[in-house]
Amino acid sequence: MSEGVMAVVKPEMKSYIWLQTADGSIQQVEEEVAMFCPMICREILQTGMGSSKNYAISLPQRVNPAVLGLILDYCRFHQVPGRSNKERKTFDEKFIRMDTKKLCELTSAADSLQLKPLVDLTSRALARIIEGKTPEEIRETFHLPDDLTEEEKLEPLRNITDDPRIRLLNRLYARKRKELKEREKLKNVEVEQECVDQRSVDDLLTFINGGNGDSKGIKTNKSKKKNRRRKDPTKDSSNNVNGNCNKESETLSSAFHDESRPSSSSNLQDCTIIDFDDGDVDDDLDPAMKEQLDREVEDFARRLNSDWPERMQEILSLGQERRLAPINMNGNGSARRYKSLDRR
Amino acid sequence: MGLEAVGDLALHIILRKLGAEESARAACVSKQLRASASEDPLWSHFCAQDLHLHQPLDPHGNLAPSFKASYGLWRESFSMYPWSLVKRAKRCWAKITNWLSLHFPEAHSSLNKGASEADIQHLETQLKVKLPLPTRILYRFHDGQDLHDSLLGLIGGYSFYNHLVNVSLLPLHQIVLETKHVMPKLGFSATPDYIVVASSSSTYSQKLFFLNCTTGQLYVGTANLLPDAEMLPCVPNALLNSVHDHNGDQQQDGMLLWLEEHYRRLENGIIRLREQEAMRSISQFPEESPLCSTAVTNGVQVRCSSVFVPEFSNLQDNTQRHWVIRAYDVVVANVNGEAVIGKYPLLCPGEQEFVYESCTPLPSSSGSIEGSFMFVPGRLADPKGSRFRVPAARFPLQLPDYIF
Repeated sequence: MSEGVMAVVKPEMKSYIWLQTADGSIQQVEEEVAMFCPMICREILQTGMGSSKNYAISLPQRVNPAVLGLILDYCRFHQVPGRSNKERKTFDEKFIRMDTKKLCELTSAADSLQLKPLVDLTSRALARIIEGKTPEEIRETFHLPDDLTEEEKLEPLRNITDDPRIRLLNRLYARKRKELKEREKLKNVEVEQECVDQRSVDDLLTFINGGNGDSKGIKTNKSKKKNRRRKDPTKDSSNNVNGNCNKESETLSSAFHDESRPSSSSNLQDCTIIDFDDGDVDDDLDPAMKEQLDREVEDFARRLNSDWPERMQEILSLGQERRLAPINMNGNGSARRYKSLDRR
Repeated sequence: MGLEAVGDLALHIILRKLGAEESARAACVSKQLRASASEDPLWSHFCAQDLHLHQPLDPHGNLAPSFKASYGLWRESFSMYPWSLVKRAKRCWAKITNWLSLHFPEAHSSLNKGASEADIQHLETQLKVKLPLPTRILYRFHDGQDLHDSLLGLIGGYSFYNHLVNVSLLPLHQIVLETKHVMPKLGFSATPDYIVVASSSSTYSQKLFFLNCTTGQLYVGTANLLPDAEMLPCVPNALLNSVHDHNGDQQQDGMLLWLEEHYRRLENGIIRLREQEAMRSISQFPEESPLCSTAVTNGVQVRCSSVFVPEFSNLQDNTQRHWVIRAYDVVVANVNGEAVIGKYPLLCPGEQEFVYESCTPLPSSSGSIEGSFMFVPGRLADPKGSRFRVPAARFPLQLPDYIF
């Protein structure tokens, strides 16, 4: 214990704290700057470490020298009491400008030093980076593992709007799901159980509102589709709101009747299925949307090793037939649609 | 070292800032993000922020297994509407019901629970209209009021002489009845898209509020409602926006704007509850300046404000507008004569305000009023001093941009 460190600091005599990063290198930092970090502050007060080079405070592994420098810059600025809020804000805005990788490192380091204001600042910056990206883009930006199963990624979504693009993709996904289900039956039980377990959790995910004139809508379609598809297969034909559901459940029921989904049924009791063919929505896809749609479908299909031109043809022809079938909620509509599906 | 190493606190902050939709999308990225995005405290925040829910309730008021489940159920139940509009309507109702449960619980219990899509569909079929989106969503949350007591109207009103006005929101089935009853009398030939959405009945005349389902504007009937169908708009026309458009996020119709403004007035104390003979109701008389004036003389405080009475107003005849003038803290005699409403109340310090409401036609639609009252210390029969004049400070008269 060196009580000297605890003595009152005379203005002309600055006190320094010694910090050691995981790589072994040691830095000397003004005391008031170092004390701004709660973790360091606690170390100094509780253990008395940091007063000299030999007793340098060991920093957590997540703090490397470069990022420590950044953190200390932050502390050095903010620990000065006289600064106005505007000054601090301006500093923060400039401070936060760095590449994504560095931002993550900084967040991680700030977290390990319990420097909450900095964690807050960097997290908000990260949120701004993530905002608006598709899951694929997020993975690319942050080099995250693509470790969800295809099944999990295909989780049906609650469809928020009657977006024709979504409808089209929904049909594609429906087919994919069917294939996967059939494939899974050949796999071991564990995978199936995992899916069933995940079901209740995933059921509630993804409420993407891509249809509100959101140009990013197409990117969100994937996740949206998933939830949407989810509902239809588990619905009994007796509980249908529109003929569409009838058709879907009939074509897919064979694939699903084995699985039990007790947890999800309660969610679906009083749900209102989006009518695929709500007359209010414009059925025509504009060229830009269609292009994006094509890309999306191609990308997805490629990943699942399917022959996309052929699939697109199928889907488009199915779409055509649907548009031709009049929209109504009674049995006639459903019968007609079922037939159109058959014709394929 | 990447996003996976930022720590749970950071992930939580990131997801919170992203919001519900983006968090759900993040859950499709990787196992770790999926786990972070599935934590219920995160969804409890979203439920509170987006839906003003502090318990994991479903749209029917039953407990859901988690906040995330609850959010999902709401999202599902309102999937046919733009979510931003749903959130706005929910916020409007949440604020109103919160105020009611704190200050006017008897009215709170009269609010019906939400109508179903089927109920709304039924009304639209019956009346051959298509409700504007904001109104539809508002009715999905609460289907008007079930009123057995005429003083519990959500909008409230005023009373003078025998004319008691207390406006409430009609439930859907009553909208159908009232509309079918009233519309034929109005001589509307080619405009079938007006429906009666709010009303108050009194011995003299009825005060009716109409919603134009095409434009979304809310109207109130004037004295010439029958048979000229004369009405005044209740909210500024310029604010109405894309009421049938599913794709925007700025939709607002008369009903939504009206309720939001009403809440704002309640919240800021501009209008308040009034107690009359142990019965409480919402009073439409402003009680905050600049619409309400206050003056104190010799320890006597006089407060005055006015309210526009559309149902007695006459747009054709520019010389006649009806204003109800209210003076708090009574009068023994006023400028025109003795005790306009025939009362000579005795005021004692520290007691409740004495309130009286009167009504008079005025020659123009804007201006101001002032006057004074004569007081006598002690009692009329046993005066303890000479009479003194207590002025009622000038208070404005203006046609309001929101009519309630």
